[in-house]
Amino acid sequence: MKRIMIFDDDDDILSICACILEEDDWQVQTYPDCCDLIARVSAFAPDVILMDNCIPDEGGIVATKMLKATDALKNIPVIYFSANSDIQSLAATAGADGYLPKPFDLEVLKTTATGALPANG
Amino acid sequence: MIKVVSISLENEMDLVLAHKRSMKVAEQLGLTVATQTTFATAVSEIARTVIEHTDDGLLDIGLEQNKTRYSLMATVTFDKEIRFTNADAGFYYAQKLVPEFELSETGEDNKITMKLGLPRSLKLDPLKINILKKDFGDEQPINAYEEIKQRNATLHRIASEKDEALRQSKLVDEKKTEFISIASHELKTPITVLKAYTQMAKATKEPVTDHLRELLAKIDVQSNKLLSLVQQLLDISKIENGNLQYNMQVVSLNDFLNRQVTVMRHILPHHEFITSFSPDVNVTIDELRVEQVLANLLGNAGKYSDRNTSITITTSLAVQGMVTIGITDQGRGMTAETTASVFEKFYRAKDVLKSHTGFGMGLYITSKIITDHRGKIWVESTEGNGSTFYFTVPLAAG
Repeated sequence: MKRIMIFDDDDDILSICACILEEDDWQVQTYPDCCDLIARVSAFAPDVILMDNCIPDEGGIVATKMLKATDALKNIPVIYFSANSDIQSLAATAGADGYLPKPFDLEVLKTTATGALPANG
Repeated sequence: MIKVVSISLENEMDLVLAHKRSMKVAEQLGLTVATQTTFATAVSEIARTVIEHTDDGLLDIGLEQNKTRYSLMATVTFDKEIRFTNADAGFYYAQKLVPEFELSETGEDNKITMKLGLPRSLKLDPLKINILKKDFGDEQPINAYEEIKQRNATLHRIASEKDEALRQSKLVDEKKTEFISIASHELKTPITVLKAYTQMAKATKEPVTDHLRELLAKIDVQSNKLLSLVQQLLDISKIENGNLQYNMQVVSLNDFLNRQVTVMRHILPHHEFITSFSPDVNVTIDELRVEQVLANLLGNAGKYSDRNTSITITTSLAVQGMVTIGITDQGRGMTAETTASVFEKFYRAKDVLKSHTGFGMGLYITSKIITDHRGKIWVESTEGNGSTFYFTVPLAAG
């Protein structure tokens, strides 16, 4: 089963994403902060990560850079997630593999997550 | 010291002033003319010596109380780098004139203090001293130079107060822009949640009545309106920060306009859209931003005209590298006053304030986007006969 980890500081956003993606056969883990980020991601070994720009404590840019600096995790696609209209440049700064602007269409959420799966996955 | 008069020592004119003021204070105290002259001469000799070295000296004249006795006192302070010796004639001479003379070189500034004990017969008391202080405070300038000096000081004060006020208002303005930016960004999160739950409710497999479906559709429409208002606020804060950025691309104008008209036909189903295009050309635009311009102009055309009227979109042949796009409605038109102000930020015409909602942001943002494309935007309108908005965009090079 495909796995996705979602990091967002808003509980409603987390539960909406979880609900929609579970319907679409994803196994989902959600977190409202990025404490123990490397340990959590290593333990769950997701296929895709959805990362909010304003995630406590470090923020999405630092969190994404931490993931990309860890050899065992750097190949997991990170989708940057924000209501900021500069999301494209934020995602590029973070080194994310894609981005999803808020507000988002629920169908677009599904296609973006699926589209981020590695081709052999 | 109980200060009565202060004079900054900048140039020779201040010497005259120092002398006259010293005389006047001594005179007011009731001292003899001989004593007045002696005191004033000592003060002006020291003032002269200081002015020869610096334009930054300060003379204070006042009184010092020692139990029941009073002294007339003058101090001159100046930069501590400046040292006087008895070779300075004025410095040497002044010491001979007053009973008490002291040079102190220990504080932040150097200071010369001169004192002259006042006889008890003058019967000074705090009340008299206060009257003296007040008299000197209120006194009219004694010559043109002092008047100019006072006016100059007042102008300096006003200028620095204005500078401070300007600085404050710039600060408040920056804070306001920053606040709009943060607030509108924060507003997007609840809108995201609202839109997502609405979409989930509409897509639910559980039975939904037609009435409920209609209500959900209305929530969706309203959250889209809310989102577009928030987006406009963000755009305004970006315009004010100079942060509105463009991603310029070469686009076929007629294709681009046809796409926008197709979208608008869905949004304004009760209006007829008529297009009349010149032969197609390529233009250099930020597609998303000019889309916003058309959505604004076509949306306004629909908003301010009746159902079942037409909206016409035309393009002209290019002139001097620019092509003109016109949008004509059959709506209520505008007064000359409105035509003149319609592109101003937050402007709303009086006659539509109650009948049509809006913040007066759309045309301001639109005009900013067009001028950032090096284009022009203008409007021709007759009240009751509809309006035509025109804007120009640049042809693609080559």
